Amino acid sequence: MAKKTFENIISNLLGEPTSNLCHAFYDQYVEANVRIRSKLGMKELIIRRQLGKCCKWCADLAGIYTPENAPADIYRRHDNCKCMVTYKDENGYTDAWSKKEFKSQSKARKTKEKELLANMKAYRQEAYSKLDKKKRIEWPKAGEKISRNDFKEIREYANKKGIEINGIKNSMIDKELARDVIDRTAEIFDRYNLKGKFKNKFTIDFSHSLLPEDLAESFKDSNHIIYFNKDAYISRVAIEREYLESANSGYFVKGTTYNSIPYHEMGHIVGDVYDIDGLEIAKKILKIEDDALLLDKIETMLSKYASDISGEEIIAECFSAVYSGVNNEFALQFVEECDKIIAKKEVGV
Amino acid sequence: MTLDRENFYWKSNPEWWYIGPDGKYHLTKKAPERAIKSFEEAKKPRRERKNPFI
Repeated sequence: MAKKTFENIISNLLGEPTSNLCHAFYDQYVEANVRIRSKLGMKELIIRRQLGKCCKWCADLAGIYTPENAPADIYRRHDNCKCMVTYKDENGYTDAWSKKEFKSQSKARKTKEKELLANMKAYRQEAYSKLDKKKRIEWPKAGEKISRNDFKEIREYANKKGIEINGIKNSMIDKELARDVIDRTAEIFDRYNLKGKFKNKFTIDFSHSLLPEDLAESFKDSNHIIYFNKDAYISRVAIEREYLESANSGYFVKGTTYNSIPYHEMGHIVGDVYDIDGLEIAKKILKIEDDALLLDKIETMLSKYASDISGEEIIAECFSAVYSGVNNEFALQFVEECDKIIAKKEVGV
Repeated sequence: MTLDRENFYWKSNPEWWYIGPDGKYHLTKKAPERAIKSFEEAKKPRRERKNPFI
């Protein structure tokens, strides 16, 4: 655990805003420099590239510009922005932040990617070290590398179902596990008519960015992406073992297996898209008004994970149970209620 | 979906929590610092704890 020193507290509170401010100051300097050189007749280009999948604002800004036609926001950035701004002159490419010079844009990009990867590893190590746990999960580090043909085949398989897939190229992900994730995600995607409900293409992303304990994640502000833990999906045996241990202890719904992970995440997505309040539905079904008593009951009837105070896990755990074929009375009633609400919303009643 | 149970640590000992007249969970004075921290974290909406790298 990190000590509660003055430096640590300030670093946690102000780390990213300070970094952002410094980036912005330097970008202003670059902006002025580029304009002057351009006016002197030198050929200047400003290149803004996003690394990985960034937000819509960054995606709209990405491109190649001359100083004259560059949008006003070209040098602006938000917290945790990982975009790369480089300017090109007769000497080559210069990274706007690090001042490092490169012969080509691809070399600049590779260097930036290495830096980001190192930061990501440091973040994961720090976050992991804060977890005060007796048992830490060690996912297998080695597996069979996915072949180029298999990668293409899986990508096409996902695309046919209207889903984009990232993170499997050159990875060691078990290809059957990947197909299984696609099938189960697509099953809910079709059933709840989610096509066209997102601004961007619906994406399954096998990512290294998740902590070892996170099997999969989805977020409200970018709910078109489900992140799956790339390390967990290397070995069927390992993910099955870890999941079963939790399910048998009642942490996840009894009778479910690792196959229910995509259903769980799709539960969150459906809940977000159709704005479903899990606590309200549970109160209606169980006829309990007090949040705490309700969550206690849900823990007994469904799973410990579903009894998270936020109430956000109820829909996810119910989807996990119902679509895995587990006969859980509460989950069945809950999903039926969700379906009724969704049907009403779909026809605009 | 996470295997991490730290958010439920506060509930692992019945002496650390009770249900108040408002129908919500509260911690007792017996709750240790780790339980308090775990309870505060559990009260946050799950998706506010966003990983900066995804």
